[in-house]
Amino acid sequence: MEPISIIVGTTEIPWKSILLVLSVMAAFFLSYSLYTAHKGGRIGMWLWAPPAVFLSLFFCRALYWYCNREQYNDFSAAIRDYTPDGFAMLGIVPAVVLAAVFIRLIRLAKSLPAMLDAIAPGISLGMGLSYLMCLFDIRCRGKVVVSTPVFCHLPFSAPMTMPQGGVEYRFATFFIGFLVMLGIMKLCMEFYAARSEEKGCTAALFLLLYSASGFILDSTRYDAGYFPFNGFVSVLQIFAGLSILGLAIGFCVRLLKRRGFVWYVIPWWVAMLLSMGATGYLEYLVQRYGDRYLLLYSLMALSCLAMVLLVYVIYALGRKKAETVEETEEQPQEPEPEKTAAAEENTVAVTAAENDAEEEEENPAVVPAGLAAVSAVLAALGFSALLFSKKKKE
Amino acid sequence: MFDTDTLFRVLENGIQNIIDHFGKMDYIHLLLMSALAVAFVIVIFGVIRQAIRKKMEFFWGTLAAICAGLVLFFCVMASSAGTVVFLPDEDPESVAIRFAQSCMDPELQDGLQMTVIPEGSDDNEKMIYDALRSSFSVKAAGEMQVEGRHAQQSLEVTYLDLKQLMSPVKAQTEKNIDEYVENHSNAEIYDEDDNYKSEIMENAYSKALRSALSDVSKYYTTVELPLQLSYENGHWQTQPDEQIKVAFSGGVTTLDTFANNLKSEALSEIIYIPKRYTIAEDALLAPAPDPAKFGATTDIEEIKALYASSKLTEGRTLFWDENANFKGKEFRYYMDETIFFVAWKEVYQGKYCAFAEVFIADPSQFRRKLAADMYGSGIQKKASQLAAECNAVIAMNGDYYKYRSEGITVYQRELYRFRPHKLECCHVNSAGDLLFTYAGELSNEEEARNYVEQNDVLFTLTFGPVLVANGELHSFARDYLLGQGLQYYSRAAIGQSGSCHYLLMNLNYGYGSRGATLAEEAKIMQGKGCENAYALDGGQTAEMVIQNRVFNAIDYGNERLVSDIIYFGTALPEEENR
Repeated sequence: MEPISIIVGTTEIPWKSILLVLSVMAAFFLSYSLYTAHKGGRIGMWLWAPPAVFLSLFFCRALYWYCNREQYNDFSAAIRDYTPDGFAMLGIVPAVVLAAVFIRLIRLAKSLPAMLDAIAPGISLGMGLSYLMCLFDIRCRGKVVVSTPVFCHLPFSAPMTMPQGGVEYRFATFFIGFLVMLGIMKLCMEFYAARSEEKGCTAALFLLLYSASGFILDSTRYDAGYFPFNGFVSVLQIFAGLSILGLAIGFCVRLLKRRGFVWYVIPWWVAMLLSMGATGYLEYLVQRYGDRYLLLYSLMALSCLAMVLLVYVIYALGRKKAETVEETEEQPQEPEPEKTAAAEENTVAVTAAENDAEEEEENPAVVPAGLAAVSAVLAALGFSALLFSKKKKE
Repeated sequence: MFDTDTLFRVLENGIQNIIDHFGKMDYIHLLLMSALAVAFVIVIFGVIRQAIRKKMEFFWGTLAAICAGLVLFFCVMASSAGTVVFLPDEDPESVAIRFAQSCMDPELQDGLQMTVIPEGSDDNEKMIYDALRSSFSVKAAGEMQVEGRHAQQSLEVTYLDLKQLMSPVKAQTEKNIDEYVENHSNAEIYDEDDNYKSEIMENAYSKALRSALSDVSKYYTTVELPLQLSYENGHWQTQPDEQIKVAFSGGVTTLDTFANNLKSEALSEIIYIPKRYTIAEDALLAPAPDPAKFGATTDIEEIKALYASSKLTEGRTLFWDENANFKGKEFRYYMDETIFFVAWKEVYQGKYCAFAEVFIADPSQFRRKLAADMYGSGIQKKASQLAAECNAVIAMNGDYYKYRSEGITVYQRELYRFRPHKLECCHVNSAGDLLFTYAGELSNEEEARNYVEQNDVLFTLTFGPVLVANGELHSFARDYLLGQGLQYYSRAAIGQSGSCHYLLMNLNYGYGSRGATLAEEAKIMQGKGCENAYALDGGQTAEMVIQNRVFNAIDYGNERLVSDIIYFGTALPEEENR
């Protein structure tokens, strides 16, 4: 595609610049409209935008530089000139969080998690739209070359002109990324609309979904960014793995704090670790047996889905209790009459039982989500084990 | 950036062009635009609903939707219309005319570099050059066609078609020699081996060339060729295509090569002067090989005959041994005037190896290819894809420089990476020789640059270690940083024996072999007769590609993505290779 949109004399404006500006504006306006509708401070949001944009540019370039250091003379050369291409989109995540932290520190936002919740759908939209800039270059294409004519167009594949002439069609990772981020935006908006009182949960959902989808999408890319000391697992994949693990631990700790020890945490962790293991193992397999990408990426999608569902399950199980606690924290505390140890034990048992019963009603998705997650883990594990044993025999 | 007037002009022009373009849009783009419009309306309704439920502020939500909608709109528009505002400062016709003039007058230095006489040319070459230069006549034919920032102007080019000189020069040279023989004694004509004296042949050839060039206008050719122009960095830039370049080289690829080949042809009945073909150093790909010249056979006699028939093998000690313990039984080969290789699989010293013995006529045929043709690019591809992109006749994995950050990397004579640590490096120079540097030998970048310059190094590979140096096994550190030398892995190596003669080796699993240590690999390369050999990246990276297909028993049966390959290409121009 023609990369330049406007040429006036010696001035050229690429399409990418226009798309980037519009994507940033769309992200900001959406975040702003959600935040202010939920009684967030307007000034805080306006002041959040400039550092978020500048930090995003800086982090995206710094991360790209770190993964592709040899394209630049040194770090200062990389961060001085932002005209040439070379940005790692993952840098947006720490940048917007840092900018929000700054706004919270100068007390222009009442709650950091609440601000991040409003930002999450906007950032999803902005990142999704930014993926479309790849229409004008050869970045973010897949490892897989598509040769079936019926799939030789978007959304499946994107053309690339070859040095020896002719056109090659590669899996359009960027376009799938765009669609996925739009899906994440929609989910985050629904979630935020329904549960905006649970501060930080929409941001956590964004992180969870972005990590899970990013893990697979980055695996399909032929130009993923790697740490200089590890050429197997990309930076985004490591970030995704750590984020999902962090969320799992966070929600689990929250559950245990609210409820005390509950037996189902053990099988839940077993399933969680299995799904993480399966995802990692499938990444290994896809690098070794690249020609089976269709099967392997399907299984990886299953195992990532399992991780998402499992994190959702642990979040949902701890949710009811959390809400109760938050409510009590917000209301003025009345001095409680002294209780005997036996009476206290009784109260805890009764509350837990009530909560369990209520939870069944409040979170009808917990059981099917849990079952689906476990099935997904088992399926992914079973198939990959089968595949591996077959390979070994060969 | 723009003053107010220009801004309005840009806006007016842009909106007008977009509106006008709707009339020219194909149905797919129109359909996409309609879908976008529908989606936008739905989104706006969604924003209204959320605003009513007080979940979103209507004004800002609508702005977000408009911005997102514009992104999608511009994507569709860009794919259909390309550049929407184009207000250039200059006229493409004047540039095309300037280009034509500069082609006739190299002093302007604005035209094609092919018309500039290469340094070190002899008198004959200078004669051909002068005749060619004075033959050029260029004028515009037809009207300039402009579409967006691209334009095309037909040029009527008259030039001396050098290939037409071949037969008259040959005939005249033979006639000159005959005349000389008639008029001189044997002692004046022949040397002690009863061959013509070289000065006689030189004189005969020069005289014939001068005679042919004295009335050169009959060899002029006039053709109409399109000249492409594109507007870049604020100016119209000419982009002469291959046809124009060839026309301004007198219908040949390069002038010095033609001069050599003209002499070779003229004196072909008397002495053998090998024709010379090279691949330009900065070329991103080699000429495409002729698929018909690839072959596969199970017959050892056929391979022996091929070895015997190739001029490139003359006087060489071969790596190929007809009594080897061949596996797979199929030999692959390719043979033209500039490259000959035979590839086979055998169990050698108990290890399952794929070998390829490669002969090239010119060192420029030994090349390196980086993914995306750029050092440091994040893009990685399969070796077979890279091989296809550069028209490799045979290729193998390189050092996979992108996977690690140590070592020395030189690409197209440029030093890009200098972190040698304790690694041994393999430098390939303009003569196609493998040169080695060892740990501590190059202590800083300055020294490395000097080394590259003094040794005429074209590219450098860093994996190693050096396996064989000057025919001797090279002793390397047991804890050599790369390759886990004491472990059993698939291995890859390149060896050399004499000028432009190489052995490529991949050692894989199979026939009871479970890979090899570096020491075993070194013994194999020495055992095969390499004077110099160097280890390349192994494991699943170890790969040999012939005709864009994997030849060796690659680990896991699957190619991995890599950042680079080394390859050998044919130097024979495509039009001569079919």
